[in-house]
Amino acid sequence: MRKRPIPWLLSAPPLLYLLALFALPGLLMALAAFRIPGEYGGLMPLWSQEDGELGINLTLENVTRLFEDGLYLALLARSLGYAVLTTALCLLLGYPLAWLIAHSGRRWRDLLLLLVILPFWSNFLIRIYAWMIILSPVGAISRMVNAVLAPLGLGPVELLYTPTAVIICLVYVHLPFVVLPLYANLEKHDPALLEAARDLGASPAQRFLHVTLPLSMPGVLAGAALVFIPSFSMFAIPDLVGGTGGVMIGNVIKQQFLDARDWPFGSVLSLAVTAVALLLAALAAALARRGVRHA
Amino acid sequence: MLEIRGVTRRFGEFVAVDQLNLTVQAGEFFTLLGPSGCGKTTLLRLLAGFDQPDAGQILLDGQDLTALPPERRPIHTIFQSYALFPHLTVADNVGFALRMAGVPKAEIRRRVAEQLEAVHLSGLAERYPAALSGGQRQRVAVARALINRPRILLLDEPLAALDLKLREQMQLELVRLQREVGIAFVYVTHDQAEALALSQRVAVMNRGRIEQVDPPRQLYARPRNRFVADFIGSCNLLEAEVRAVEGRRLRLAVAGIGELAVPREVDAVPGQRGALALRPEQLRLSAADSAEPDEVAVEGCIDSHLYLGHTTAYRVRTAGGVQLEVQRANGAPGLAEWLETGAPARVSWPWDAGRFLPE
Repeated sequence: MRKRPIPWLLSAPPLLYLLALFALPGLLMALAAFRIPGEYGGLMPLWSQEDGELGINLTLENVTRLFEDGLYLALLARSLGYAVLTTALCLLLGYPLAWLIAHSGRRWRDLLLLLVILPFWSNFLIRIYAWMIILSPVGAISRMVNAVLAPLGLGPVELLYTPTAVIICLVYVHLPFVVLPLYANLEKHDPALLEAARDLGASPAQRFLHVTLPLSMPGVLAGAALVFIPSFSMFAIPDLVGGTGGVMIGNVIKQQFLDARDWPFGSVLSLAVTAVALLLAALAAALARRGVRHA
Repeated sequence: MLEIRGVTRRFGEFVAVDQLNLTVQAGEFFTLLGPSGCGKTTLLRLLAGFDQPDAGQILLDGQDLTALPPERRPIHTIFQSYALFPHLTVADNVGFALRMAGVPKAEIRRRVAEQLEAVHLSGLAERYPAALSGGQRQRVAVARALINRPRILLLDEPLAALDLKLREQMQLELVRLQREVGIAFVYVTHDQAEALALSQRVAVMNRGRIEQVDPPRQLYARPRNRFVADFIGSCNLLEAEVRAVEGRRLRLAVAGIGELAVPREVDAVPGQRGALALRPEQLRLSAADSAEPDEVAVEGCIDSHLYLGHTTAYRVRTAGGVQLEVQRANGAPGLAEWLETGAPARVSWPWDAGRFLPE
């Protein structure tokens, strides 16, 4: 095959960008994981001379610390649980919405899509602050929930500064990332396939399970990946609405870097998050490839 | 027996199917033929159940199907695009209807193998539709639609996407298959040659109505009106008026030709207007002024000609200023060689080749 320089040339800037700002920092972090924290933060020099003796300051202590202290693994597991729950809820809520948009008329479709992306027009943190007001004990949702519970002799429940608040906000922030790829997928489905299924005796539920759902798997996986990865490492939402009960691994990583000034251990935790996320992403990609092969 | 009684379907102001009555016999290869927009596909969708008529009834062996959804009708459709499920193998596509009906796995496997055998696709069971040729996809679509033995199979221009050679091969195969399974096929096409080649009976549709329902030979030889004559094959249509009714003959006055006689096949009264229909291949073209007895002859000259391989289509302008298309087999024995444009020519035909089509 002939070499084509143009595509290479065009992809060079993003490639360099990713190399400089993603691959390189990642590599630095991987190296930092085996170093010793500096006395005032940062890292200790790689080697030092003490009494004329050359010492190399590398250690496995940071890595073993992750596995020795159950706290961090438990936190990792809990964050994983939050991310899985968020992904599941986003898919559950986003699928019907994406389907509705894909099956509505041209005018409605554009309006609905606009509404889905509208939240992006205001800042992420501001939207979470808004949720702090909504979820606070005097906010509308808390008062509604407690107004229902009170006559039943239950409550009052607190929403703000709980894991529930974290999940609510995670789902809220990530919902568009499920809706958009799913919409893009569902909109392309050939309506003749559903008619063919119907013609061959499939009930509405069977048509969904045997035709629409399997054909939308690439969209489901793309949406799931887009929700799962950022939710897993989220720190801003648990910081603002999670309280002490809703802490996630992202918060601890932030603490290690900014408060404890333990860059090496922060790097180890970051790498653990990255490893889990990459593993799951690879799994999703493999599943998607299987789906795409036949489409 | 499939009966369509007074079925009407409107889309806003547009009447796609207009109070249509039609009967399809059990085991018949029946074709709905018409130009695009004539309502044939709408009618097919009404039969399949994807669409509901605004008025009228659809009955299958006396049972009213009108209110039944497609998934409950014993009627299957072959879609123009085939609509094979891209995420399922050939075997899973073919077995789809059985799986939906909850048939046990072992029986599905057996019947799928049987069905694939019938359409010569046994080796491709594990392939996905994307890896099949057009002809193979068509066979999968047929196998999938026939597996749970519907009473009627609807086919919506199933060969339109195939090239000519493959189309002819699939035509023969469809006819063979239809004989084998013995159920009625309702076939929709706009291709008149296909309709004539495949069908036992053809319904010619125009503007939501049936113009004529007849076996192919009859349809071609005895079109009932101008539209059918023009749509099936090519036809010379000349303005004509009935002068007199003489026993088994009609005497016509034809614009640009004069008076002549045609067989009386329809009731007509003197003064009635209509058209004289003459098939191009029934016209004789000769240079000499020889006239057989009982032939009508018109003088003219060759206006243009179109060489089509097995035939040549000549356009002859008569002395009276009318254009006639004449089709002549090339290389047939006893024919004068070649007639150049501008050459004087005589067009003649046996008197009973002409037909009068009332307005």
